Amino acid sequence: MHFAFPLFLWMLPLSLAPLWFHLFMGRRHPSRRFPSLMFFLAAAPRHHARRRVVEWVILCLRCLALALFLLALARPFFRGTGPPGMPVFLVDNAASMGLKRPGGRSRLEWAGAVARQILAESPHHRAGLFVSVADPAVTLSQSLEGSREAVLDAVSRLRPTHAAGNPLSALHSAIALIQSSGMAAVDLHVFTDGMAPGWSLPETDVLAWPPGARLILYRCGDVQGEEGGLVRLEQVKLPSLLPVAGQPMRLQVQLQNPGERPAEVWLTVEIEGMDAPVREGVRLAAHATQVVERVVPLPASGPAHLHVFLDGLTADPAAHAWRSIPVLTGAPVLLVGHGDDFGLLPAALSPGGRGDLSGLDAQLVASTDLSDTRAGPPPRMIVFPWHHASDPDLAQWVLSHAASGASLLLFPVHPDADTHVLPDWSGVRRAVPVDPDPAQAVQPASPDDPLWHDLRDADGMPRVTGMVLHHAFGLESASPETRELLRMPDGEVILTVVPRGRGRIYVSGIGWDLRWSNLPRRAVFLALAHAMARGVDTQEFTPVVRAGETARFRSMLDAAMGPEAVVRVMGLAGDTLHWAGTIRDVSAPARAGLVRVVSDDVRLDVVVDGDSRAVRPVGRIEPISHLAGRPFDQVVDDVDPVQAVARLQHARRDQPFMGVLLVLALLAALAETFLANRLLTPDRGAMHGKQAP
Amino acid sequence: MSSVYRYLPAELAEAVSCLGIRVRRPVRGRGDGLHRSPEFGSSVEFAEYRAYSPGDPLSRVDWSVYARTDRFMVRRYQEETSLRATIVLDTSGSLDFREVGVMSKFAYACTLAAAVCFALVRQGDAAGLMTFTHRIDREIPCIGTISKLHRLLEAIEAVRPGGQSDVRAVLFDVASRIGSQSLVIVISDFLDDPDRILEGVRRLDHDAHTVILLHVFDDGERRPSLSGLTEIEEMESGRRMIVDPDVLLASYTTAFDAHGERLHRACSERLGDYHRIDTREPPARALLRLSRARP
Repeated sequence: MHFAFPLFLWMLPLSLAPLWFHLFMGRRHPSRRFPSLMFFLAAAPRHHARRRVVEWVILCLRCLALALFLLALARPFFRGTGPPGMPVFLVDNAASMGLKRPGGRSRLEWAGAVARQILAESPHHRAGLFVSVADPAVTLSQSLEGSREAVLDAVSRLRPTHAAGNPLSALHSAIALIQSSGMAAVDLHVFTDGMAPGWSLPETDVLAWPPGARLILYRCGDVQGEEGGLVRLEQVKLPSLLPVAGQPMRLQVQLQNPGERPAEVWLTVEIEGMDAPVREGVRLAAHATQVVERVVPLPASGPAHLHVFLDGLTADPAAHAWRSIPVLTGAPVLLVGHGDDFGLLPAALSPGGRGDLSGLDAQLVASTDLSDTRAGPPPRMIVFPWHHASDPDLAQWVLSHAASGASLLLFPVHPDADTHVLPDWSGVRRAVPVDPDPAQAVQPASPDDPLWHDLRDADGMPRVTGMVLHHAFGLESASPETRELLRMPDGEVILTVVPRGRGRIYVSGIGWDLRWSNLPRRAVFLALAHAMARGVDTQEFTPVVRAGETARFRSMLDAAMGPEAVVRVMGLAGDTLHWAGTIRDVSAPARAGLVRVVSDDVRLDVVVDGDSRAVRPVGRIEPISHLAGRPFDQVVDDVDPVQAVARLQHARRDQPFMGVLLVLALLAALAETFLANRLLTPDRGAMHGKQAP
Repeated sequence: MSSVYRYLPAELAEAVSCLGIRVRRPVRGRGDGLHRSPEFGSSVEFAEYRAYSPGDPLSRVDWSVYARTDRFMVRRYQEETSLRATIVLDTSGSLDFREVGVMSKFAYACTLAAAVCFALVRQGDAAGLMTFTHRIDREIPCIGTISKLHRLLEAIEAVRPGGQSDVRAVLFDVASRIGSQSLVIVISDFLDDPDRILEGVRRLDHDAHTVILLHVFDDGERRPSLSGLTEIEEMESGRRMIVDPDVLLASYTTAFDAHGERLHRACSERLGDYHRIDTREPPARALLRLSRARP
């Protein structure tokens, strides 16, 4: 037997009050000392004993009536002895319910099958349906007057959503409607895997359950193991060459599924401020790593804030990567010298005019007019003939730009020039004229050099074919950092590169007109020119810090600004953080994004990646033992819906017992009254006749 | 005779001095007396005829019988002796009750005992005393002279009521202590199972004692004046009982009388004498009435 209000059971000792009163506060009769009781006993041998028995019986009846009344107040009921109640369904349609159960059906499909089975066998013509996540596609019954057919139809249209839902709100609605309906017998069937946080309601969050309502839990899903791991965002690989504003950019995203089962996630790549993010589903095999290519449009001006993230049930919630990508928008390429010296190079650099197509704006500048260029934006590349390299002012000027990330391109002007001695900073010791064999094609060297990033064929080899030299100067490496980029079959190098600061210094052994080679006629000429001009600035920012990695964040700011610096931290993308204070008090951002830290004289842009350290396996059912303070009357784990419902039918609803107890209490009270009045009070008329004078 | 004894005031002593207690049964005594002895003696009272045996004195032959019957028959004459009486006095707690009587049952019983002792000794018999509750508490051997009567009277004066009584056990004990063929006067309220009491009386009767039961009662005990539910506490055992007088009173009195009637019937058949004495009746009158009834 169970009790709806067990608090009244604590009052049961009060039912012994009549006994207490009888023993300690009972009416005392006058006492007389008498020689013997034998004649009293002889007169009515059982009078005393019978009287005592009757008195005790009356006491017991009084105590029993009180006890029964108190028990009735406690609202007792027998579990599972009554008929099934009207079915009301509370279905969890959160994202996790889309996972597959053993047998192939998703959790939600299984729940729907069980619900349909329950409806088919229910003797009631009414039913109700509530879902944890609002879904416009499912017509929900707003009152319990919804017909069984309407609920059946709604159940068939259930589908998993992409939210966690609000089970408590749905439960409130269900209970409110049950109470307003006045139905005494209602079975609330709850279908959930318990994974959404809303199901783990604290025990103090108690609702007033309608008396007579039965609560049944259907555990959806596999309780044994995890459905899958959380797919992680391993790496975002950007093109090594600066993208051009307004042009699409191709990038690669590396994902990893550490789980034991295949996983499906949604990969979104977007540029902040641009419409239509690219969002596509990606399916990964178990324990698999997959590289996904995506092409995204870039804005007309930079920098572009790239946001790559994953979502879905099996996605790592911390998989957010932000990158700030500079884009080329008419970046100047300075051609220092006479226009004739550059051949077809200017046209190759700026085929559309002023950087419309390439983002590069080739500008011819006289060596004496370099001061005019200082007012404009910094050049992406400076091209000048070898003979200008010996100019110390020019050299100082171009090297400063190279240190800041610009590319330098040195080339010969006249094929008849003698051996040139190039400066040491070029990475080449000298250049000597060579007689190239036109039958022998130029071959690329250092195929892994970023210069060939966009010039690879299907096999990954630099695609520089059919290039025939007419004249060339062989280059001799003068630095261990110098890399050969183009060479002749006999080994003569005609294009080298050496890093300088953030930039690169290219030394070409050929000029840019047809006297030197057929290169200006080949399509690869533009790509090669753009590759050299756009530079190989490391555009893949190594994630500087992870969200919440405060120690490293402070250390980084210490190194850049000093420990006592007062800074302002502002979110550029992904985070609306805005904080000011000393480095000693700063905390790493809690979310992934781009932040800018500014002190009096230093500005530092920091990439913050999400923290994937705290991950948990997905899919495992979370056990819940109660719902809003009410333990479940029954828990169903069966796989087969028919078996689940059959087991349910065997466990019928609760049968209240209050009325029976009240009737018994009333009968006990009546019996007590009868005994007290009839047996303890004599028939005085008859006794007067018996008493002899 | 003036008396300083509480239970034998002078007027009572004078009233019972000529009481003349007689018994029907032959009694064994010492010396001559007023009571028939079981032996044959030389008194003038004819006892019986016996067939002549050679050696019998011819003066004893009843020649008229011979003339009538041609048989030689010798006349035998009764012997008379003094009486030895034992007064068995109940001193249990139930006697300490007085409601309508002239005195409590205990005082009344002691008065009876003292008066009987005095009357017996006065008439030349011997009287002894045994006081009892559930056993014999005190025993005074038979005394046959007035000069030693004070022992009995002082013993009676000294007793106090209390304890529970067991008449049967006491009478069995009395039978073992005294000889046969004497007088035993039991003074008690006999608030015990009559069958048990009669077992004790039979035991005495077995030894050919003459038993007189003096049943002392207070009329308030016979017809209790109770109103409403009353808790009755038994004086000897302390047992309690709630009684409803409206329900029980008539049956109670009937039961009380039936108890006495039972004892009376059993004693009158052959066991002895039974007298119910109401404490409203003055002791002297009661004793006079008793003496007229010759057991």
